[in-house]
Amino acid sequence: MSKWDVDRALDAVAAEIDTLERVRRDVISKRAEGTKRMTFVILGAVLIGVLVMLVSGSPVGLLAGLVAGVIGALIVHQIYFGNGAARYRAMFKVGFLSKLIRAVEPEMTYVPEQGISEAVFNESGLFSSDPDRYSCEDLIHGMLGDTKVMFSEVHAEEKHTSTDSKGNTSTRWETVFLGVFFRADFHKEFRTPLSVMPDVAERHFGWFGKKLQKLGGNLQKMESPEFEKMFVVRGADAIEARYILTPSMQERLIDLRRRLGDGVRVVFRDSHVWLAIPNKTNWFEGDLFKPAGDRSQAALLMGQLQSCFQIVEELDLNTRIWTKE
Amino acid sequence: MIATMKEFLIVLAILLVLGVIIYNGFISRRNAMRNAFASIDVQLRKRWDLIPNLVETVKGFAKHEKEVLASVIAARNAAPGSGERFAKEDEVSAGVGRLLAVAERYPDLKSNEQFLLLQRNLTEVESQISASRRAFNSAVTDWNEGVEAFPGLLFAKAFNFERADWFEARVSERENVEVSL
Repeated sequence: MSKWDVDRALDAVAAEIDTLERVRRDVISKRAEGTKRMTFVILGAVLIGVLVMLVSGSPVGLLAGLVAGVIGALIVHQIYFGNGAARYRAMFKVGFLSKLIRAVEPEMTYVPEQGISEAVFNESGLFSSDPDRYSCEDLIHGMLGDTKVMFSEVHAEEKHTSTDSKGNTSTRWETVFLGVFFRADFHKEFRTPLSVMPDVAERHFGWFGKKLQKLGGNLQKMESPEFEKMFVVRGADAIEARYILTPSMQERLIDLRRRLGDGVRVVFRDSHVWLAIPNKTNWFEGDLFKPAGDRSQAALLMGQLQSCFQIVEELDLNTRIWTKE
Repeated sequence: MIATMKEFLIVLAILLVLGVIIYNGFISRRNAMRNAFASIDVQLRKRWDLIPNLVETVKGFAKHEKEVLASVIAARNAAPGSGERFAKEDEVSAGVGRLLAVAERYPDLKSNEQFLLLQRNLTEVESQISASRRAFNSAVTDWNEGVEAFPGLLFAKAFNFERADWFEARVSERENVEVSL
């Protein structure tokens, strides 16, 4: 039976499922009770408002009733809804997801509230500017075979402030990166960083785009035409670039990009390989409205984990035939 | 008349600047080619240095493989200074591949630390040689594009810049040598 078999994984976390399911049902029934009470409060307040309006002949009564109804509903919401869902999701991560990860890869550790630090994110050099707002969660780290790996969800944003002709200042936040940020040991020695970025210029402008790429400097052209269409490679050392990006590594990156999408960025730097995998959905989360032991939910989480873990195999990072241990 | 002279000088200055840019482009392409070529040489030299140790280590465990050992040493000794240096280096490559394959028949040799270290070093050097050759070929492509495409070809003719040849893998090199660790 494969380690990625969903039933096998569910067996491994069977002991936790009952506890989580009890908590989940508690939270849902409390929310249902809260919804009922909120409805009563709003209807009651509106009814009183209508009566006051009829007696006094002024619409102020109805307005007051509406306001009172909304305030009352908010109080009821806070009491019954509170942070029940967040509490369940946190429990799910510790009780279910971390054990699921251990069952699949015993050498991996899951720390839901932590993530790849901003310093590490910046150190990769995958994005040109340091973010102004940074958040991360769901750190998974440890050894996959001989390779040390860490990855987490990251949301990095940049602040843009503009002033219009009347002197009014407005601020907007632009996402620099949202998705999974991955770092692993690389099995070869190298000195200079090598970046493998999506080839936007060539894809959009063809021959002219190719010429434009040269302006960025340190451009390295690889032999595979398919790889060249997908990526633009930059590195100061032409020989090192080819030492890292062997024809087989180029093929592997082509496959990786097909699987993970055309926004994937890769950099080889400081004995590591770093990947930024854009992703708009929130991964590694439990769904309050699905039973804790739901097979489809477990399959989804297993798929997300496998998607990250298999990068090591896809890039053949466990092969140790070169001089680096 | 003065205006025409001024325009002429501006055009001349622009042409001169373009000429310098194109000429410098040729020089940097030629340097990239030379650099890659020198790197191949360095890596071949490293391999050359590793071979005696490899032969000695294998000899200790596989005395009956005299023929393979002798052919590697002969190719290794013939390579430097040879008129057909790179053809000889290909023979060295093939010989080293055969030597590493010999280990498959000798479990003691296969697990010998010295041999494993040499094997890793040789794999490293072979990877570096391959990377250097590919870098050289890429630099040659760049150079040839400059020599053959307009307006570079005007300079190529004026300065006697000629097309360069690529490194081509021989048939023996295209065959993978299966080496397990």
